[in-house]
Amino acid sequence: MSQPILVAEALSSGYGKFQVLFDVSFRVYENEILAVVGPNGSGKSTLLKTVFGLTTIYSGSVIYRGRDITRLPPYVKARIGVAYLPQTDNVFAELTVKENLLMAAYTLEESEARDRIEEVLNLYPVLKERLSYKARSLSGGERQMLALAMTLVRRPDIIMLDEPTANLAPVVARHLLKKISMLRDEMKKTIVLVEQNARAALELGDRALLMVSGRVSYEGPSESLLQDVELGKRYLGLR
Amino acid sequence: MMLVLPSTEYLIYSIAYGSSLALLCMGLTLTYMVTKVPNFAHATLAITGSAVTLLLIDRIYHVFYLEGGASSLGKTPYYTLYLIAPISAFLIVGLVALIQYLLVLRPLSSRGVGVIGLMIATLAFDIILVNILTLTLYLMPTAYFGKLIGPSLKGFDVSVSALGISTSFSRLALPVIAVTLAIALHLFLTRTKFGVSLRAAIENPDLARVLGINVDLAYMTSWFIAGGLAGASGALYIFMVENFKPAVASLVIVSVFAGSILGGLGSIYGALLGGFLVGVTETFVVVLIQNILAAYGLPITLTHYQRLFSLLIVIVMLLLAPQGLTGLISRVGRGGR
Amino acid sequence: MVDSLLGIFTLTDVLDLIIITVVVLALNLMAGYAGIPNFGMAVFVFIGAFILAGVGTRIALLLASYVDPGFIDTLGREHAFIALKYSGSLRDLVLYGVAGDPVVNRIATPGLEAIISQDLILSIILLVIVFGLAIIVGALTGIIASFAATRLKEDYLAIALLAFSEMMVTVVFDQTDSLAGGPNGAWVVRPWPSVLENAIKPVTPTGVSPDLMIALIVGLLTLLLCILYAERIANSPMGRMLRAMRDDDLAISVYGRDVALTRLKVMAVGAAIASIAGAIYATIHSPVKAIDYNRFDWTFTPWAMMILGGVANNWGVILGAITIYTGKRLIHFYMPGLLTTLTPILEIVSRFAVPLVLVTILVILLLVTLHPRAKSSTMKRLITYTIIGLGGSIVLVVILSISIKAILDNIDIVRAITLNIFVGLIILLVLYLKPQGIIPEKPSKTLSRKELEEIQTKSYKEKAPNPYKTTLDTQSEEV
Repeated sequence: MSQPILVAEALSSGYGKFQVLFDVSFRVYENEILAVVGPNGSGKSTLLKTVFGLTTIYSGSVIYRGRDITRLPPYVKARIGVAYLPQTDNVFAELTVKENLLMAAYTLEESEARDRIEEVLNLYPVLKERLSYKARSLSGGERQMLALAMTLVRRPDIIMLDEPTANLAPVVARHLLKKISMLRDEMKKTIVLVEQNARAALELGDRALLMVSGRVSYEGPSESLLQDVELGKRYLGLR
Repeated sequence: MMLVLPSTEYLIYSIAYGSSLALLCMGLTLTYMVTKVPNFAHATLAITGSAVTLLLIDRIYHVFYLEGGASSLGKTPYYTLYLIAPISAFLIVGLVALIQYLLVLRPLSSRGVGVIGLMIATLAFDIILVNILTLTLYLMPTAYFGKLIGPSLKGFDVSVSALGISTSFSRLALPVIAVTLAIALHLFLTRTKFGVSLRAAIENPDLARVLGINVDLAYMTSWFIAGGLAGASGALYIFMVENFKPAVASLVIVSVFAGSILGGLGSIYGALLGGFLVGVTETFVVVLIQNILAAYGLPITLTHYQRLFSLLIVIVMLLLAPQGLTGLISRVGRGGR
Repeated sequence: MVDSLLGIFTLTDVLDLIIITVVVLALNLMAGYAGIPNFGMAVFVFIGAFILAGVGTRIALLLASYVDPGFIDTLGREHAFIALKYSGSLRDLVLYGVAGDPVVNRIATPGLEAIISQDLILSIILLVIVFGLAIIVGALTGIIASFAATRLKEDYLAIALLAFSEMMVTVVFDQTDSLAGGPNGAWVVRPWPSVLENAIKPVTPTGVSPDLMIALIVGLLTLLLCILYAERIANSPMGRMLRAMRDDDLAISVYGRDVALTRLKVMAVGAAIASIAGAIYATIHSPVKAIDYNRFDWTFTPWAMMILGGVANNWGVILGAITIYTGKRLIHFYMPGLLTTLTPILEIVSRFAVPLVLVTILVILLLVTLHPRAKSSTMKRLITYTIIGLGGSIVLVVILSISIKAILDNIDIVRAITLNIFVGLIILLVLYLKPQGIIPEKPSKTLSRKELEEIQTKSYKEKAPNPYKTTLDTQSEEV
């Protein structure tokens, strides 16, 4: 097993005074997909936000490649390779696809920006066709791909995705999930995937994290979780 | 039918007035998009541009003509003034608008003052600005500047005659400058990385920040540009009016609001269109209707009521179609969804 | 002018203070309790004034010619042009002349007033009609505004109300001569019976007109009633609920109909009160001109007073009104003297203007370089304030010293300007120092579809914020 690229230790966090996570610890290993599943309101989204620095952290720490990044502001985290992709508002709706990618590459030098955008467009050819369209005229799936593309422009090491397939038609969702697995297989990225659709996430993921009421209920191979009928039924609506 | 149409000269004036309003509306919409607050001081910013122009031209006139005896230079310096005036007004008023953002709107907004409170703050800034302006113009030493309240720069306005039409240079310059600035703004906002980042920062500042965009710089630049547009508008507008008084801004602001609201407060191009439409309506259309009524034997003077039209536009638009024309157009475009 | 309280308030000033306090209380009812950001307060005040000037004079003429049919002929005989222009036609005079024609208006109103006040019945009729109409029209306008409030979100509502006020006062009224004289305005016929005037005489100081005394008493009564009503609203369960729910759209929409009805009532009463205040004001400040009911004096200044005192706090608002008004009077009274005393000092300063400015610039530059190196944010803020304060005051002093002569030459204008700037600065200062709870949200009657969806998707207390938005603690906000 490779080294853990990200380690969360005893994280307790919330929004202002409203605590959501209670003493949460987990690890993410290099080049794996960690599926984060659990019932509604269990703190899955908050987990990602906490790692990225968008919540109030009461205690605990986040270690990334051996470095304590707990208190770093989000834009610094983005710069050093930790990417966070929320479910909504993840693109600039009024800007064109091309402009969105340009903004994603904002801090990069011009030639490098050009190369990376080219790279990313080759990964998602459908975006190439829509370059001059405003992001709001894209379909749901296309928009998520644009958001993903924008993240990839910055060559992150670890990408945290918050329910990327929500509100997407099943066909489109499957397509998106395939693209995500490509990120692990072909681009050697590390992915933390929060999903409402537990079965799909667990099938895709290598390891799984089960969140219940703000605490970690299970951390281990996703296969085992899939087969644990008891847990599956109780928390995930799996039959 | 031809008797009913106002003269071509008036049409030219109307287009010029519409252009100056269009500039003002673009700036107002820009500041609204950034701070989500309608800036009541916007027209006063324009008047500041007028004042700057007045001071500049008056001083240059004194230096070159009265004292320097350079009357032999003829009209040429006048034409350069048409360039110098809007540029300096752009820069200075842009700075004033930036000050309004930095000293009033940003601190109050970060303190959690709501929309209404911020609106009142802009009203307060408006009061203070217009009064400082009036004070400055009153106190300028007459020996140095000449009397500055109530004069007109019309005397400086070069008259132009062609094709049997006699008008003045400022009325021709205004639409040209308005279109130029609009195009420049469009290019800036769509073709430059920094310009695109402004749009991004306005739309989704949190995402922009994560991407490393300096959102605060974007906001400051937007306000500077908006102020600059207002200043340029005021700089040329002053050539068209008699009897300049800073207080006139409190009358114009309603027309600016009307134009921005008509165009839709989320679109700069809407503002351009809306401002122009309101300007032309207030002048040309009003006179047209007046003439039509007179032709039918109802001689009512409607020109006194020209502001009534913009005020009605404000109220009607807000009640019926607050998203403005651009909102309606995009709704139709999307198939009424 | 009789010097009265503290040497800076004449009795007319006292009346003005009473009236503006009533207006501010009414505004407080509208904005603080009914939650309507009324940027068009001026029009509500103006309604009462207009009814007195535009309608009252016409009614007075009708009443007078009923009692004294020869009145018009007498008028025509004394002023030939009236006979010529109106050919003794009562109809023309009522429809246009007495209110719309400034000349006729000026001539006729004293005579009308004399006739009306002699007859108790007539003056009561006029009184009831004028004030009754003021109340009714005012209340109706308030109700209309209340309906507009349900359709528009708060900033649009504020703009709409402002536009409406401007339209009615500065365009329609100001430009239409036939209503009440247009820009020249119209003199009023005061509806006070002579019985009242005689009763007042004992308490009237010398040199003060009985009309002023009556206005003062009526004004005080109105103020009292206003306070009683406002306090009743404040302390009622409904009032407390209105205040508590001001910022909570969800709660408001849940309670729905009852709240909406109370809001309507509060708006109507507030508007009616403002209207009465305007009418009382107009009895003393004749002629009634649109420019005297401008948005600075009657919308903006009341807002300043209300914000200073604390929104939805009746006694605070009264205190705010007194404070600002007194401040204005003090400035008005003492500024010229103060400037004259300062002149010699300023003259000395003006000689050192240039070095003074240079030194200040150096100091500011020094502070600017220190700013990024400051250790704490309080230090940074202190430096920023010092820069602004120092820079501002030096600029002020230098400008003052250079232009002191010009200022003293134009002292009236300068004083008026200072008063305006004073009010503006107060607003900014108050907003800066206590930004909380300034303005209530707009009430909504039912939940829109969007709001329902938001409720459904809400997992936590806050509305779905932008997902990239940091909570306050984790990232330092730029000031």
